[in-house]
Amino acid sequence: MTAWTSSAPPEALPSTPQEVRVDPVPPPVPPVGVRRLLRSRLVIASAVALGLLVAACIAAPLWAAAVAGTSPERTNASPDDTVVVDGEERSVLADDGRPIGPTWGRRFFLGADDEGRDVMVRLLYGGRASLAIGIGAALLTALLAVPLGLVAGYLRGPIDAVVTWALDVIWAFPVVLLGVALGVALALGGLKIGPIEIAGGSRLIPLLVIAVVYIPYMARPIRAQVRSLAEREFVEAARAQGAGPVRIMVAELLPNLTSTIVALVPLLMANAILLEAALSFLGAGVQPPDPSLGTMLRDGIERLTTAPHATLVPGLALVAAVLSINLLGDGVREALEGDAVADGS
Amino acid sequence: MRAVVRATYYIALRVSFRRSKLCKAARPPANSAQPPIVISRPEPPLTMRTKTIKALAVSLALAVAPALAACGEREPTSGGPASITIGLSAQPDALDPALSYAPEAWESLWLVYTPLLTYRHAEGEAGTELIPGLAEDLPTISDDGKTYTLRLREGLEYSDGTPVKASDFEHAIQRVLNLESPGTPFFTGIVGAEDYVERGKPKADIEGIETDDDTGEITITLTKPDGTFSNVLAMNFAGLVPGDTPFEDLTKTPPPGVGPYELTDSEPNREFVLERNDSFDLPGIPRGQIDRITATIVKDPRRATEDVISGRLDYIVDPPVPDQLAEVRERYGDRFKEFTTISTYYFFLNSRIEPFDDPKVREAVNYAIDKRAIARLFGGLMAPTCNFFPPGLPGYQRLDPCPWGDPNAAPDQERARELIREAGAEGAEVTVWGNNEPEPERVTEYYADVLNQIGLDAKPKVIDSSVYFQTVGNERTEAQTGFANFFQDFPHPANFMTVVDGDAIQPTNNSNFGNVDDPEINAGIDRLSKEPDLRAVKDQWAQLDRQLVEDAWLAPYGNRMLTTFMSERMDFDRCSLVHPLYQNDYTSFCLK
Repeated sequence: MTAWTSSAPPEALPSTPQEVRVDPVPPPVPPVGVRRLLRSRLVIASAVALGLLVAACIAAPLWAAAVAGTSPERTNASPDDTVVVDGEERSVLADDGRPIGPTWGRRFFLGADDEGRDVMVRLLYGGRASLAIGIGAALLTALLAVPLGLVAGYLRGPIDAVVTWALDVIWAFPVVLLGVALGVALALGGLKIGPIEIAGGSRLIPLLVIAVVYIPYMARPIRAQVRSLAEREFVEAARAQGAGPVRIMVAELLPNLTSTIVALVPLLMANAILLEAALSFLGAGVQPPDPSLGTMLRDGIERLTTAPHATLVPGLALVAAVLSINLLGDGVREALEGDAVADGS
Repeated sequence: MRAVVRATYYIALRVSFRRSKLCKAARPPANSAQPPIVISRPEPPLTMRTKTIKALAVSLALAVAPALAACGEREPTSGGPASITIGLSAQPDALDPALSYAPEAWESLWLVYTPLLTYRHAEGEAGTELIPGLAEDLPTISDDGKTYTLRLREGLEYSDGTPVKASDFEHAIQRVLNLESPGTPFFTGIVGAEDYVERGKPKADIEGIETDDDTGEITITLTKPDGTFSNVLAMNFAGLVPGDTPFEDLTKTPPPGVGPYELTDSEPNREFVLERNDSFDLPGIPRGQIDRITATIVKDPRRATEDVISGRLDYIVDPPVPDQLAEVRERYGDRFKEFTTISTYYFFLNSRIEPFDDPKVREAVNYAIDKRAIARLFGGLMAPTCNFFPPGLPGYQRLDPCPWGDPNAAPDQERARELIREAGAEGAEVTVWGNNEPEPERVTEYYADVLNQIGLDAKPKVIDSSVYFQTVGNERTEAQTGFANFFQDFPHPANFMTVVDGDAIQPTNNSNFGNVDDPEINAGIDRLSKEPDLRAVKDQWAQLDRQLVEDAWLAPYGNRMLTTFMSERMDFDRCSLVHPLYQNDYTSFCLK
């Protein structure tokens, strides 16, 4: 499954009575995996879809300013706020608060929400927030979980016990419940750790919350794999060369965790985007009036039957984002497995 | 008595169930245009067995005939016991008169625990008239306005048959004070009430309440004159309960009271039951027309509305969700109505904190908000207003012209921007507070957007509704501006003025969120509150309302509208009285 490598070249090893077998350094280009990746239409399609989503979200200010001429927070609830549809002037919100549906024009291309805000503009900005939080949270999880898994798995003993216990504590809580608890508490008072201070309404709060609740989901597989790797010959060889624990963890073990990390990160990204949507839907994620796919779903839910566009649009965007990331992740994982097969592992 | 009523009810339920089965069997198919084919046969000779069967059949036919005649109706129009089911979206805070401070509970409790004084069961201004409840007459007030004397009616009994005594009144007030009820502040003006609270002993005497069980006389002495005290005596908190009622929250086992209904069953978070109190008979207070009202907790408001449409519920306390409102208005308009409550929704503007310490900024806000837009954010269930006092409140006089422009016309945002520039407040950072209930959240976001449009740098902060008012009422929060509303406790302008009374500002649990502290208004409240004859000073109260609005101490924008939505079997046209204080009056409910 995994491509075992060693940073030390075989000729650099000291001569010992018992020869230590070291796997050869893999060739610089893994052609099998890349070819497999490029051959998969599903992977290409999902990569293109994700790329388009990201590009659209990056271009959100452009659409808002140049096309729709509004901002994501701008409300249009007054009877004087109108839009021309098929030559007819119509209120953005009806007297009973019912928002206008998609106009397919420059303004309110995908309709308005229950405060008369442009759904298309909010979708682009909201998608940006959701993707940023999802990707950021997954990367932060990896950044925190990998060292924890490495340290716990390699050093073992009391450190392993403490880390494992801490991970078990986080794992014991249902993800959404823990996320809501942390999100609600921090959304009101913000977070202050030493010199670091994050305001309550900041998007960094849901990012941090999601990153923390997913740490066990990455740290535990990493730890398990490190425990297994630590018994391998190349680690013994490095130890025999006099390498210390830090060097072994960084130079010997970490490179061998690459495929696991690459396989887990897209999964985490998809889950983080979903969790962000759930937290924001429940009021514990992105705080109003900032848009995210979750807050848009929440805003639209009261008008599910009379203005379904306000819920369907962010819902479909959420499905598209998560599906494309998952498919891309699957493709990358299969490609890496292909590499491993090609390497003869 | 209670057991008999319950047994009758279950028999009625069974009869009703059988009748519905029989009705289904007896009804012809809906599309049966052809007359039924009848084949005549010769009469068989009567045997003992057939005689018996015939006799049984005749008896059965006689027994079910009235039921068959009433096919198509779930309940009889008259005669038999009638029961309905109503839906509440949440369990009321308490089903104990000493503790409950929630409108959805008051709607029921005022029919169970009649105080010494109460309100006429009528719509509009007539419903704000105080009438004697358990007292023989309205109170006699001493010349100094401090002593209230009442006499209990003779021969009163609680729903369980216990005689009502004058001393039960003191016991009811002791329960309010001892249980740290939200009603406590209304009674601390009684001589010795604060000492009683401090001592914490339930059975200790409240010096200012003298009762005589023999004569039924009740004398209440206040520390200072209070023109609202008659209204306080009519609050549910002062509803009489037997003198041996324990000092604890009795939501699970509500105590007996004197009223058109009695609370016979209570399962918190599931349902509670009101059964008609057949022994109740007080002049001026109608008896209930429905025998049994089951109040069920239906947490999903969408389902609750669907249940009314389908007939599973007969009435819902909360309005349909916005998604269903249009459909209900269009399709069920014959059993749906909207009414304006005596309430005011407003934005508080903290006059102690920048930038709202500058009157020009407060004026700018009043010029900028579009009340028509806010009405739409409430799904149309908000009546735009200029006044702080709501229509229907004694002392309300419509401000016309409104100093900030017609509430039903476009706002003057240009003027607002000018004022912000003049005040030098452009770009001032403002946190707009709101809670996460759907409508307040929408309004908070809209309001922040408006402030940004007139030149401020506003950001909404939406927090959970359960902690919202405590949070913005804490001086450490330093809330600059945000959502606020006030529903009357009783129909008296002094009650509304508590949220703008500078003398009532406190560091925590402050209800004067904007720290309104105008010496003239404070003095006016103090002076007018002492006047027992409200009619004599109505114009002066109206003047205070005008001053409050003209000085832009706050930004009122509307009066909340609520709804009455009933099932098809309810007689909506004849039996849906909306009381100005207690909303839908269940004693008026009846079936077709």
